Amino acid sequence: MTLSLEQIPEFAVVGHPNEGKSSVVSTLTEDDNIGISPVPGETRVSGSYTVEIDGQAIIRFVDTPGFQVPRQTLAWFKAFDGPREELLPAFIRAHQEDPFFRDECELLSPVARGAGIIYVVDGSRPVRPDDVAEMEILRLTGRPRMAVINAKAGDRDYTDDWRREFGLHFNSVRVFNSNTADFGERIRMLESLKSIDQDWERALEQVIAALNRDWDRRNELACAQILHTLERCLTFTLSRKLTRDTDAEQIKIALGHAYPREIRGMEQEMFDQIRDLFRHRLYQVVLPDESLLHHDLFSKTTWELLGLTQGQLAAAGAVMGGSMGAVADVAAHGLSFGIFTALGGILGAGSAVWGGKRITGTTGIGRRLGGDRIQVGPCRDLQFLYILLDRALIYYRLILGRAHGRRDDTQTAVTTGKLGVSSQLSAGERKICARYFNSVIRPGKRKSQDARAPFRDLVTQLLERMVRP
Amino acid sequence: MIPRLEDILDVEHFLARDEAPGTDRDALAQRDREIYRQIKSDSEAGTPSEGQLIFGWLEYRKCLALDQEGAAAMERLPGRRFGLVLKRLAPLLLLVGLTLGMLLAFSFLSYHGTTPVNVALFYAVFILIPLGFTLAGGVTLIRPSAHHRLPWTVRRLLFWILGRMGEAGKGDDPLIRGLAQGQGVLFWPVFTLSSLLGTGLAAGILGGTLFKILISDLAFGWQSTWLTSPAQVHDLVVLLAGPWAWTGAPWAHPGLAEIAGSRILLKEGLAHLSTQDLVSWWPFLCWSIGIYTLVPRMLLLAGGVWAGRRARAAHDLGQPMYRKLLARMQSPAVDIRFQPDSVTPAQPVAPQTPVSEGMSSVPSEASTPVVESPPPSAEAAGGPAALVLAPAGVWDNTPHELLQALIRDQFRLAPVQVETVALDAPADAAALAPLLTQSPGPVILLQEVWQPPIRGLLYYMIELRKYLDRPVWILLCQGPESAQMTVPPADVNAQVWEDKVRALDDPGLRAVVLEA
Repeated sequence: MTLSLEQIPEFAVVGHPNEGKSSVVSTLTEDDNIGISPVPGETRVSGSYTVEIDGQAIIRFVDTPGFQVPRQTLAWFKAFDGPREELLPAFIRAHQEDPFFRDECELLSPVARGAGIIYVVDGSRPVRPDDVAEMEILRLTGRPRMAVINAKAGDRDYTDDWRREFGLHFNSVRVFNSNTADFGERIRMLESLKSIDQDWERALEQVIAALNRDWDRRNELACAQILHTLERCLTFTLSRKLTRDTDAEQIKIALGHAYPREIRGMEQEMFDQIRDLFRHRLYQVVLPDESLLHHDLFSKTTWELLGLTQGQLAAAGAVMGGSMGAVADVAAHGLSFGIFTALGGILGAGSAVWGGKRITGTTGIGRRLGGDRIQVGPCRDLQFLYILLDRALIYYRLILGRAHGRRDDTQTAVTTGKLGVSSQLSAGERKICARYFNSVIRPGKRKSQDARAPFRDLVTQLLERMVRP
Repeated sequence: MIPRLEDILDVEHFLARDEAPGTDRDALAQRDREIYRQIKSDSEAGTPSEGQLIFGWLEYRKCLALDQEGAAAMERLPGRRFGLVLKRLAPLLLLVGLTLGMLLAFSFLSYHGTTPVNVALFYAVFILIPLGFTLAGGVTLIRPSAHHRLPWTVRRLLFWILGRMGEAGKGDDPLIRGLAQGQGVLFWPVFTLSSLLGTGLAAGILGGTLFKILISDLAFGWQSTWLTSPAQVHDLVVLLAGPWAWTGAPWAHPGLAEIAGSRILLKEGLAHLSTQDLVSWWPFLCWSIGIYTLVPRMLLLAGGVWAGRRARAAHDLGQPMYRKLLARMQSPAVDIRFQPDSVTPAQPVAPQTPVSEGMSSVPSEASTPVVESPPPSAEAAGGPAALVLAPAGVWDNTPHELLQALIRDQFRLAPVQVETVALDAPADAAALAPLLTQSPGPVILLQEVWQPPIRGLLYYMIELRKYLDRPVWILLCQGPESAQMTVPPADVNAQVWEDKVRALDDPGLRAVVLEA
């Protein structure tokens, strides 16, 4: 990175009030701290948001107040008879103490110092004379400019009308929904900005490269986090000492409740870390109504809709050398993992076809250890791996699709389909999963790194497919 | 590079701490990135390997912990604790082994001139049994597995010792977890300790035997029902002495005559046995202890050290927690820096008024105050004719009849006239002047409710009201493109308009909502 602070591309995000300028800046900079309000005119002064990588500024966006007096400003511009490059400085000099033109001075100041213009309009409303006046003002500045049609929620779509109008005033036009824009959209937006001024091309290419690297890092971290959680969950055990005064059945019941709670906690930690990774801090991500994540990790629906199909499980059981169905489930001793009771209780020495019902391992649920301890876990059901993986991927996709400029919680952001990703894996990919699972639950049998590396690559690919389908 | 065991434990300890709930992950990323840059700048030979990065990170991390938490925190690090346990246990176990071995030899080699020490029994107790344990250890050594679980009792003993040292016993302690899971890196040091005990024991037996031989009168004899011929025993002894006899070592084993002379036959008694034959066994026995007990134990000890080194060298840096650390270190830190970018004077916190918004500073040619207009209501039915103003460029294609009907329906006003305005107050006022005489009622300005009440529009309304010298109603409605022109109740945009118009503090201006 060789850009100095002075050389970095700077863009003033301007427009009529309440068109979603702050929302666009928020999404572009991935900063959900930027105040966004449904009430127009909330942004009273400009604020610059500089994206820094390793402390080095790479691009700056200036969130500006909306135009308040476009007709009067345009009238002044038209009346100005000085050199064109003096137009903006002269306007600001003449009006910066005048509260009537305060907002125009604020929004035109970054343009006056050389910033490019991103003109934001709401594509769900029609073009009005004030908008035309604003476009004319921006044209008269002579600065490179791009129009962004922010596709806000609305019954009508006036995108074509806007496009026609923009053709006269802007170098580039882009539709950008700040409520749904994902990483790819952001990158495409930056690509578009390259075209409005050749001088910024190299700098913007560096910005795009830096953002791509950052995104790869996030994927890598997300992948590591998912594997970390999978391994924690798959190897997790809970045990309690059994004394003469304690009731073994009571302990079993308590452990049976505590175990899934702990696993849920680990999953939640993973979700939180993924959310932080994508810089969603201010607002808790609320799951869409139809999200499968609304169902508990151990609910019947989760186990029906996620993970492998019974046939796929059977094949996976063969890959694992029959280890799936060898151990009897002792959950029938009254321990209530929702999934056991939900799917029909105990299986005994069943086949892998029914593996989804068995969540215990050799130590079993409530198994006595050495006569003085009772232990729950680890869960040795291959399906458990797929359920956890599917839920992690669903959450990842949800976060990925959650634009930082979005402030509502009702809009649909994720549609997972009927099943999770795991059921769509190829036979080879499922084999990788099964080997990894085996290496985690039986660390002595296989060198864990031999099985982990291919699985890590697989998860990375799955994440990558979501980012760059 | 081969990491030290202490470092592996400490790295895992710090990584587990970084995973604690509530950790500021941004700060974490920045810290690790900074450490990476330090390591890279310190690195003289190109790009550091992943191992160098991880264990280099540990050094910086320890320094930070020392600064922030003091030296006491360093004492509690699991690497240090475990290292200390190993350091203290090693000489202790060697000493215990030596003592036990010597005591064992002393108690076994008791000869009071009546019954010589039984060579076969001596061989079984001091050579064959230890050799069996050694071979079992050897099998563990060569077994190709990354995980070796310590016996439950040994684990409990270690937990107890670590617990006595404080801070141990927590579930997320990498030391406890590693021991429980049977991590190879933790198994081999314990294996080496046990080999040290075995080595001490073998050395103690050998030393004790030699010492006993030196200071007391010992006699060795052999008995057997199965081997009836001394020659058979001699053959066996020669075979056992093979590893050292071929070097020509002195007194490698007793000769056939000495073996025959040291045979104990109970019915014949011991009186006829010669002392020379009875003592001829001790060099062979000492050689046997050395070669079959002590040397294998020492080899096992060396093997344990080697296996520990191998396990540490093969320590899986692909574990997710290491990958996360490496990703944090090797990836540039992205941050967003906010700066106010205002060029205008600071804004008042007070509500916006025409003065604060600069609207009163704009020159106005007409400024006659008007009395407050009555609120629009059904009682106004049949009242004076109103003049309806429709901004140009918005309502151009809307039939005037439709607008007239809407206003008549809501306000019951007399026939209305609709005029287009250009939102230029002086020009519009001039154009409207002749019409005012025909419309004594209020002037109604159509305003799309979804449009923000920008200052330019509000200024126009103030100015228009002044120029016309007539109450102006701002009729908030949907745009001409909407299927419904009416505004739903509690519409937030209508509320914003009403507040803004009220703030203008002009009794002649009133925002009115076109209701369903």
